[in-house]
Amino acid sequence: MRRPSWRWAVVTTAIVAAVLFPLYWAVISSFTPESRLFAAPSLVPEALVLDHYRALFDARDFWTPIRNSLIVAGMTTLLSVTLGAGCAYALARLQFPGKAVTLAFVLAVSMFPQISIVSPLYLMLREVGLLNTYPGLVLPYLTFAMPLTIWMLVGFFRQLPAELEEAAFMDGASWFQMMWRVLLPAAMPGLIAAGMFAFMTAWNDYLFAVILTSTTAAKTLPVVVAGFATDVTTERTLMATSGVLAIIPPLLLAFLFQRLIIQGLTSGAVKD
Amino acid sequence: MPHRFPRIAALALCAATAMVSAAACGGASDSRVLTMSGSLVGREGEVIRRQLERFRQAHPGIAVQLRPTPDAADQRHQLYVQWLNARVSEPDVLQLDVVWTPEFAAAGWIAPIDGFHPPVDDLFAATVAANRWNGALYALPWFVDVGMLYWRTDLLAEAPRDLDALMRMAKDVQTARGATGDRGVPFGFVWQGARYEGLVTVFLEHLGAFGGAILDEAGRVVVDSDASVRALTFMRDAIYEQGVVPQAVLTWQEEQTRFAFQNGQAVFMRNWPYAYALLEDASESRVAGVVAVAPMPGAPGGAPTAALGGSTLAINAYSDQPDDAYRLIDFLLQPEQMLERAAVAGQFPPRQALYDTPELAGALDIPPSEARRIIEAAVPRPVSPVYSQLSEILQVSLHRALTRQQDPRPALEEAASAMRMLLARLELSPS
Amino acid sequence: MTSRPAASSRADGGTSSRELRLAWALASPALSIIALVALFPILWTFWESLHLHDLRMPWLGRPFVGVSNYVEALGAARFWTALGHTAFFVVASLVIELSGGLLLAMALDRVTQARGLVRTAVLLPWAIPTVVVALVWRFMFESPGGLANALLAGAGLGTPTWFADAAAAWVPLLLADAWKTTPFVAILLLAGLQTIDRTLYEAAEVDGAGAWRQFADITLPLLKPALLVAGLFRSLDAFRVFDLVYVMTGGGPGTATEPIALYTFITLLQNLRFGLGSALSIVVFAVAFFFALGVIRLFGSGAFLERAA
Repeated sequence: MRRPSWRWAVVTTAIVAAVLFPLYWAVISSFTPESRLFAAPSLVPEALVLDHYRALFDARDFWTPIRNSLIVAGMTTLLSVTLGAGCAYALARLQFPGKAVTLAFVLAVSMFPQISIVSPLYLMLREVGLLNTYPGLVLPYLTFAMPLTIWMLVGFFRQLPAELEEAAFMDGASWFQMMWRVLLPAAMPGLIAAGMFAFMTAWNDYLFAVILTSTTAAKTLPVVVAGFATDVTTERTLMATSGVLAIIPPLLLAFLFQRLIIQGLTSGAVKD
Repeated sequence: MPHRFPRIAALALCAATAMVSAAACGGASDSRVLTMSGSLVGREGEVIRRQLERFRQAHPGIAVQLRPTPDAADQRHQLYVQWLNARVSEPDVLQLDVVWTPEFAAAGWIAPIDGFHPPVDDLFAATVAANRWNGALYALPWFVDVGMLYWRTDLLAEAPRDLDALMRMAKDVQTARGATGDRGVPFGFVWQGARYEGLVTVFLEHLGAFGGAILDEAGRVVVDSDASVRALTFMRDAIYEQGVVPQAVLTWQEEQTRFAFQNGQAVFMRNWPYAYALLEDASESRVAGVVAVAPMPGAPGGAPTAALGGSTLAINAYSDQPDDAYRLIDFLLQPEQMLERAAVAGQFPPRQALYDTPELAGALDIPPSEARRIIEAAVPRPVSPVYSQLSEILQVSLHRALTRQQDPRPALEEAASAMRMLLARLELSPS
Repeated sequence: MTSRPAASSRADGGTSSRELRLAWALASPALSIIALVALFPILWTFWESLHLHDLRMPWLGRPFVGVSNYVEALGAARFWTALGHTAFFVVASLVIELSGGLLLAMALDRVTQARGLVRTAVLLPWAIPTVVVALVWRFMFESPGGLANALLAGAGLGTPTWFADAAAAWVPLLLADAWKTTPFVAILLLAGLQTIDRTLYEAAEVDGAGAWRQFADITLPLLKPALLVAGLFRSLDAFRVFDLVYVMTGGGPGTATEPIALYTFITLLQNLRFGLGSALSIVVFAVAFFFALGVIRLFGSGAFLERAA
């Protein structure tokens, strides 16, 4: 362990302050009465009101986009983790021809610029009538969630000691039993980390959501938040408020699973 | 505990009542539901809700739901394009910006309404003409907007006669009052300069003032004429040389300019009529009672020009209920509804006969005869199915020139040649 | 030695058919979904790019036009400016985020108190939707009434109209992107930092090398693989930037901050020219693909497969 010096402590504090300041600003704005928002801003708020939060939920039916985002992100996570885990295990532990090509293919897909596939997705979904529906968002989200999950889990599975599986087989377990009873529990941290990444990516997406949904009933959170910002009148305050609310689920996840996220990102290389 | 039971019973009763009434309300299976989408900004939202309530009372079998849309016209356009491309059947009635009708008609997204025999003779000819495509009528004008000059009666004795006078008067006030402090007036003249459709309307007014146009009578692109270059140079110099127009306007749309003027920070503002009612609201506005409205001034070589804006109502081509949709449109176009809109939201009615009535005089802030004159002289934007793209080309060039990335002449020449190429490629250019 | 149906220890190097079937059974659901929603669309985009398809002009039909969409796309000056903006954004954000990330990683490495809290705080920007980040930073730099100008005015400095100036508009964009992404890069680099053997530093200390020397001779070289991986993934992400710019500047002033993804979006979804937009999409895809390929070739695929391993 490097000897910590006070210089580094100062640097860290400065960085943390810089990181937190805009968040502080957004939170303060969400509680600031409308008239003050256009006047010269002050760092310490003079008045705090709950009006905007009330307006958001009463007048603007904010629960719908929250619900939509939760359902879409949740479904994306579930599908990409369950299907992706199987694929990742095959790529990590099993031998079969075309493995390197498959891995390269998955990696390549994760590099696709979203804009490049959005127009055919739009046309495809329009033809089958899936615009403004949950599957109509979940399927496109799998485009980037699935490769991401596979990629993360491949790294994670490779880190797991081979003895785990060997021991299970020595005890006479079949592939299925080995996977269900031994591998899954051992891989749980990796699965959770991968799941959280998939959730965050789906929760935060804007491009696909804004193009593939247009009805109020189908819109997700980022679209609604961005929509507030263009409505210049009272909606700026709603934007700050809705933005703050949109942060909460990812924030909770970041707080609760900070260790797992870091482990997942670095395949367990970063020590606590 | 004895007290709990009655409370639970009361709760259950309430729940039951709620469920029953909800069922009763939602269960009216024979009522048809119409959806309408449009702008709900400020007073407009108030007015439309009141009018829809009256419609419901007049037509008990039809309920009308309002679909919210973004305030910014460009965003609403984007949303409509997505809806109609996805062939959704709702909303049934669409509020369109006056320049969108040819585009939507050509794409087959809105239904022709000649079959309903609308009262076109009662409406201003120019407003009806803008809604025709290929000989058929596709929408009806709902209200008319014209660009106007707002000015502070506490700072000036009279409205400026031309643009040079405007600049002089603005500068004098700015110098006299200073830029800071409670009495300060930092901005001389504010207009909408963000890179969006509003910029084109502001430019159109300056353009007409100097004698230019976007398309000539034959439909040829003439936005790169000398008059245009003068107009754009004037706008640019007003910001950087004269200091009368703040650079910030290049990021402002209608509401931001209204706020600046409303907070007493500007001498002149160019905006649509809707702003007047809001400016006169003493509870929010610092300039209530000291605002007056005048036509946009002219300049050497041209004439005072107001951009013709406004909204039209159209029927979604994929709607299941076109007849009911037309009933709603017809209702909203009745004189009574139009007068109410004028009184509350300050938007001018397209019915010519109303301009001779005393009711309209009471509802508007300027004499109806003057309003009529301005409307009849107002300049429409080009009527074309590719107008949005033409506008986008122009917006980019105008904004580039105004942010000093390019000089006005090359910017306009670039825009003009791109517009010509576009019209040519789409087999729409005049022979 | 064991009776498990595993592969790698088989003397003959072949694979059992059971294992093969199992592998494909496990992999095919995921792969077929990816094929459906990623591979198929990119092929369709390519097909569209060879046709004229304007959604607003249904009477023009969808005729085959060969490469004329590509000719038009590559001939438009706006395309090349957009590409230039994107390249600038990639380089600038990379420089800021790699150096900032390295600094942050070294700081995180040395933190002993409130480790969890500091790391959570640092992860927050990454967790926030890009749209929200863009809006918060946009309002901070707005005129008038923006926080940035208020602070600048308070310090007696000039107050530019950030979003009305072609050069100044990049500042809030880069700051917002750096704010959101540097922590992410830092975590990636932290992993690399922690794999460096401590004894190397101790030996250098004994030899009398100062902190800067140690950094240049030990840290940087050993961190190269991690820097490369972080660099490649960050530059690919920066190349695809859309949300941030669309919400913050809309590509303005004029088109001064318009990246290639936004230009493609405007062509596709605002001008509704799907044929031309598809050609642009393919070009964007090709640039990204060959860039990644080039970097991987240059630095050896080992570094990247190592990362995925």
